[in-house]
Amino acid sequence: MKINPQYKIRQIAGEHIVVKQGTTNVDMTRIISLNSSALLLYQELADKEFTIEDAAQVLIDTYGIDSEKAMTDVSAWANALKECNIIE
Amino acid sequence: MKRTYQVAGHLFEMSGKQACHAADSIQGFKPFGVAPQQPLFTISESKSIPTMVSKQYTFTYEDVAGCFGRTSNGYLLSLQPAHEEGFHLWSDDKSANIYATGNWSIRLYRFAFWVGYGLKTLGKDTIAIHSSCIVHQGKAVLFLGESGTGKSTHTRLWCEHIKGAELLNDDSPILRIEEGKVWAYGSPWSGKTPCYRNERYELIGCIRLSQAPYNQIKKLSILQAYGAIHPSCPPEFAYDNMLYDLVSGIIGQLLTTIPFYHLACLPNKEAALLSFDTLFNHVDHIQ
Repeated sequence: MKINPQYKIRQIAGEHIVVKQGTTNVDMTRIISLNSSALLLYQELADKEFTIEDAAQVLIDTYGIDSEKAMTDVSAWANALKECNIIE
Repeated sequence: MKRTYQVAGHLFEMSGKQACHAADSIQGFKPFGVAPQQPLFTISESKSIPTMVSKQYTFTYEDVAGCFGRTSNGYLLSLQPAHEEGFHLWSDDKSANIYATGNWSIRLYRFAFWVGYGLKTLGKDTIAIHSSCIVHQGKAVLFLGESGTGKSTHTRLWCEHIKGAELLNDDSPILRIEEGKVWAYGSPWSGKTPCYRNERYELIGCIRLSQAPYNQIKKLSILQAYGAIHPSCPPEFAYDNMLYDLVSGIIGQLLTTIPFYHLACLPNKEAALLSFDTLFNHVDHIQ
């Protein structure tokens, strides 16, 4: 999977918001803001193809959590982004 | 030949016969004329239209096909009507000059000047917001929404039913952040309603409207407020990293300073009273 490169993270009013560059008439009923671990994953994995295991490894390496927890967390992260078409 | 204007506190100069005649013919500019002073930027005619290196945004209005994008050293706006010559306005990143040439038709240059003004003032915490702006008791409120949602209707209801409420601008008031406060300024651009007021008021709230078979107002979270204001920012500037960086910075300050609401409403008196109560009487509604 890959993060759609048309999306960019912008820091706005203290939140890290995922914005699709150059679309003003978008469906604004879903706006994603990233917490610190979601932001870390996004920044580590943007611009490349990755698997869910790659994503889990980022969390394991950074936070020292076990792989089962990491897999659960990244699956939730990936699903949320897929629902908004940010991950294709 | 020159004319100097001041909008949202920024001075700009029309230089040369063509630009001055154009400005003279725009009704909305009249209240904004000032004595000649050192301007932030100037607009003048130049015949050497630069090449569009990267098209960022295309749009249409009436029969005009518009295109905005980057040149090698600035931005270019080209407006091409169906059966007439086009009009072009462009800027230079490194200088305070804006140039224009082509078919000096008012419906083309009036819009182009709006884009030019926006380009040179974004970097000064200033942004035009597509909205209808009411002033009351010395404060301003912006009503946001898609074209046709009912912003003008709602502000008209305010003027009818709320004593002392007046329209500041019906399409493109200009917000400027100064020392932590947000000011709403009247502007020469007001859409179909000729409301050109060279005044400013402190902004106390923004309300995004939508049509509903009832009246209900909700306070918005930061994220929701972003969703409310983003579509009302100049679309031309949403496609360029540098410009949208500036827009985001301004919006970020706006979101942390000003309360945002969503009002789902009918086009009636009660809707106006509801938004008025919420903002001016600090009545708590649905959070």
